Amino acid sequence: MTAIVELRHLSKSFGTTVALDGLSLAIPEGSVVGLLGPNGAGKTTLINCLTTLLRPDSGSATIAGHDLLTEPDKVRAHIAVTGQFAAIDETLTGRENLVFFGRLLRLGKDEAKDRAGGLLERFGLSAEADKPVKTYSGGMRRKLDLAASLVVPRPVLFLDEPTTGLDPVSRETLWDTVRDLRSTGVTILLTTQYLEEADQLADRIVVIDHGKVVAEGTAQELKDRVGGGAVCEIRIADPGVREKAMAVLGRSAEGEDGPIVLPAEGVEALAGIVKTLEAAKIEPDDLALRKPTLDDVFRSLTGRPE
Amino acid sequence: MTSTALLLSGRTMKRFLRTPPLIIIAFVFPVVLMFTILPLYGGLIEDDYIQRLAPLIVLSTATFGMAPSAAGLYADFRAGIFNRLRTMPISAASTVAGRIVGEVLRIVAVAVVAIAVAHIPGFRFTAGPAGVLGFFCVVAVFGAMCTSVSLLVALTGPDEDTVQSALGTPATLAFFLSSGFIPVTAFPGWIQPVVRVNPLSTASEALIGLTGGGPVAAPLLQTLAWAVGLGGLCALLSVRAYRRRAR
Amino acid sequence: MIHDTGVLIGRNLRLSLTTRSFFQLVVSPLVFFAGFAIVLDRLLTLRGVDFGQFLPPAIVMMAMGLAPVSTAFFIGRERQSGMLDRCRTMPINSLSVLIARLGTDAVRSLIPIVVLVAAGHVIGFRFAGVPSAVGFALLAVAFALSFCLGAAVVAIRSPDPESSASALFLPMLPLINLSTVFAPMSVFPDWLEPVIRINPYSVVVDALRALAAGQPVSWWPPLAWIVGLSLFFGLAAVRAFRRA
Repeated sequence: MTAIVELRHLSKSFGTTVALDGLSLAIPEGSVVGLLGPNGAGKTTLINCLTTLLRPDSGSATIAGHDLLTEPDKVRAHIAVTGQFAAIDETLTGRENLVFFGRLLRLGKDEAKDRAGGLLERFGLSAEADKPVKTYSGGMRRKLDLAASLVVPRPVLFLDEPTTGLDPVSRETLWDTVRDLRSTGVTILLTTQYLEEADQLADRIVVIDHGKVVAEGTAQELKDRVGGGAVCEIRIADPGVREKAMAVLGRSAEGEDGPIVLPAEGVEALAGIVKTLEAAKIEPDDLALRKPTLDDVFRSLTGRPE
Repeated sequence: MTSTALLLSGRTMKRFLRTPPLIIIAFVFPVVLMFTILPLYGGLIEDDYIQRLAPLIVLSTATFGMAPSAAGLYADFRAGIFNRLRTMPISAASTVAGRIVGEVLRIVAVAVVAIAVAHIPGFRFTAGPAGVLGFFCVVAVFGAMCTSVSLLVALTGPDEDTVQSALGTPATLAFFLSSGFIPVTAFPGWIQPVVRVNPLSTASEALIGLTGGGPVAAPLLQTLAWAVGLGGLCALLSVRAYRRRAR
Repeated sequence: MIHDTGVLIGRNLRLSLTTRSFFQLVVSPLVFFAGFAIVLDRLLTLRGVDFGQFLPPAIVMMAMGLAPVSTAFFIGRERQSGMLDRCRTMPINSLSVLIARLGTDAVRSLIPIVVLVAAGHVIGFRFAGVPSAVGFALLAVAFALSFCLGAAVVAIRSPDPESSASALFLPMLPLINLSTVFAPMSVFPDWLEPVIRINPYSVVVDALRALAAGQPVSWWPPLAWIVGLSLFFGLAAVRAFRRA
């Protein structure tokens, strides 16, 4: 597969704050890439650079073969963005919004109307299509925003936290849409706060922190890094005791609270953990063996829970 | 580019027409201002004061409209529409043009209503159809200049409150220090040069001329110089600022 | 309730420390002062008006007339941010919110008065004495508050409070222009005279000018207006705040 989005050593600073620190990444055509990272890791800056909203300080990037810095207009003809805030006009109706964006993208009047009607139906918004957007619920706005990105199909779609604040049912609908889009060959870069979302949708996951890629791979590959088949989760309520346990177990990445998670593949590893705790006379409140999740990956990579 | 500008200006018009408080302020404000200033200054200055006042009222729709029009842009920043447009293959020039055309349409619409109402207390066009046409063209050109200024200030300003104040205060000053309000000779001598050069004065004098009440050529040329110089410069800088702005 | 109100006023005043407030309370009154000084000086002096004593009360009236706009603006903002609802869920008398708003507006109104009296000094404005200065300020603020109560009612009941706030300056235009604020009675056509004579802006500005000059003041017309408006809008505001 060829890379449709390719960035080389992309850097961007705001004053003394380094948001992107020589970030390199290649996204294969037709894949769904989940971009994870704690708040402030540089996710939004990255999306803003790739969508031509921000100009990187150094480095280069191409999207669909066009250089981001020298041909931003050509890049814009190949991308669509749905951001954290529904970027639609409150005073217009849902249908008028879609027709408006379609016409801006050079669709004829009838074509724009047809597309709008089709998308409204697909997203279950037909009944409310002719009401002003200000009467819409948060979920409806988000759907309309995504629909606005699909009025004219683009090969690369950026979804910046598309489901933040949505109820579970609306989230499922959006997930189905993303899967549909993927099956039509659209390349999607998705940022999300929900690890489950990345697990469900993404072919590949990229974890960034402090403006750099800290891990990359499929969900399974990343999970294998924390503990292959199984991890041991230890919960200790007393902060003093917890700190002592972290010291004897040789952990530092977990931060101030939450469970301590250790790789525990096989009986021997588990027994080792238990013996260490016993020797230090630490009685955990809870100790469990389970399969690793992306949460564990996140904690071990960034020291912060997502 | 033209069709994009028209689409964008169509949106500006729709938003305006669907926000009742905006419509009320836009159409009622000039009329109220006119009827309440008229008896006061009519008594103080001259008998056919409405011929002087009506042009000023129409032009002040544009100057006092600068702050609300900047507020509209900030509403788009907040809603994310501004950024969405910037990620689409639309040229910065057509986006800026769309904003200007939309505001100019509003200003001319208000002008038509205000001038129609001004006929009640005795306003008249006495220079024929060409004068009427020229009158509204000058209003449109002046409106485009004001919108460019407000666009540039809004695109480069630090925050909405500062931008609104930075636009509202000069608009008020320009209103007072214009010969549309009282004749130049009624001002104290030291301020008369300022009054003469004020674009609101030159445009007022041009409009008064076009209604048949004075010279046309000189004030018209001065107004065009303002529009091309200040308006053109602000429009060009707005196009640049538009591409740079990240919200 | 006194304590709650005090806390709320403190918060309101801190929220007032913005560029917008600085422009509203200091810059804009000075701009109007300068503008009208330049425009009206010759025209009125020709008619035998003592311009230095005449103008500052006029601009004070204008500043007082704009106070309700910010009342409505702030109440609208509190409503939209959910702050008003939060206050209602707490064991605070719901009227404290209203009273705190008015208290804040009273303090805010004093700022342009001080600024304008200082600016007036430059063109020859003088008070007859300390009592006349105190009376001047009290009357002006009381006048502003009676209209602020009306604005509070609008803000609490309007579906779109922030934009209706900006519409509130509309009623001020006829009131202030068709009064003796900017010109003596003799300027207006005769048929308008009854309207101008009864206009609250006329009776209050006349009282302010008389107070400043130390001349006898006819107290009844301004007090009747202020008490009447405050009762009318006050009752409506109390009802609206209890219900909303």
